[in-house]
Amino acid sequence: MMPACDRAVAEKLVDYADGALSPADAAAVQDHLAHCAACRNTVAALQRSLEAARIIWHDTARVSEDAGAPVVPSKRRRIVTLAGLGMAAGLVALLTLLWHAAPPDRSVPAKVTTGAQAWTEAEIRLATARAGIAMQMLVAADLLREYPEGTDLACERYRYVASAYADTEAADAAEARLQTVCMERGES
Amino acid sequence: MHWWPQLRRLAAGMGLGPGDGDDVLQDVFLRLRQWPGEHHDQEQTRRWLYRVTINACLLEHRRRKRFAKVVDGASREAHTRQVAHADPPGDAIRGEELQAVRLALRELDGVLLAPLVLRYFCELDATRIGELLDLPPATVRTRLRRARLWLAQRLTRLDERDDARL
Repeated sequence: MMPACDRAVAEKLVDYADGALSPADAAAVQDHLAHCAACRNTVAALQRSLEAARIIWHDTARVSEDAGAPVVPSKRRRIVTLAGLGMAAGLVALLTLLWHAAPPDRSVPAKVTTGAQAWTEAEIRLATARAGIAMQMLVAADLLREYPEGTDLACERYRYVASAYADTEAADAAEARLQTVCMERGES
Repeated sequence: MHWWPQLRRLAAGMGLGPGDGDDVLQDVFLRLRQWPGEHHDQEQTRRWLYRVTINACLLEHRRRKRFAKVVDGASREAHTRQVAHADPPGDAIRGEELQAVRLALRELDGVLLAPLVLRYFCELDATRIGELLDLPPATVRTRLRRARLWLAQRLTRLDERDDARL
């Protein structure tokens, strides 16, 4: 529990930290702060936490803006040795097998070995989730193309899927659409 | 779709990166096509878009809380890389503080997160936020104070933990 004189003072500290108090109220808070270390710490924490939050928001927004720009797909990093279109289905089937094979207490082997590579349960879930998310984005982009104003957005989505989810089968389909649909519009 | 940059910024403020944020926004765009608001003015359309986007972001935020429990390690690593490439003003903000605030934002209740983002990232005032969220301005201000104190409390705990180590 944050040390504070009382709730009314704590709430005024927020407005004080934001410079939103009247001169009279601000002076009263300043007088209080001169004698209360706990409230001084609170004001400092309010300012630092807001500054940190703004950095995080701006950083996230910048990543979003960069992701929206056309990119050339980087070299693909295959995370499984299974070949072809059955990769995502194979992972789902493997996960299903794991769940059905689990003992009543639902404990799961820490690792599953397929071929030459050992997979943890978390890695399987992540890979399956990524494949699913990429496919969902692909389908949604295809739906957007049905609207006259949606083709530009769809092409942007194809580019994103092709770059951010390059290790999934949906990326193959997205690249194919970029070459056909988006090239027809003069984009790539 | 001239609202796109603003809504994308809002989604980023709500903690959704490019994939999840754009996923949410394309759903919003599809819903807009079905919204019987063709004859509404720009301001009504804007409010509708903001409300739908906020609600969609809150739903995604809650879903991600559950998903994060499974892949939290990978997410934390990605956030650490983002922090390493961040450009903080001065060098006053420690990486640990950023991570503490990042986690606090993720755990913050949606009813507090939305006004916090709208006020301090989208730079809307309490009246405007109230119109978007259908709340009285006084309630918006109360929620803002609670959200700010929540974040500050997380940093205070971090400071107390660091002091205890010394």
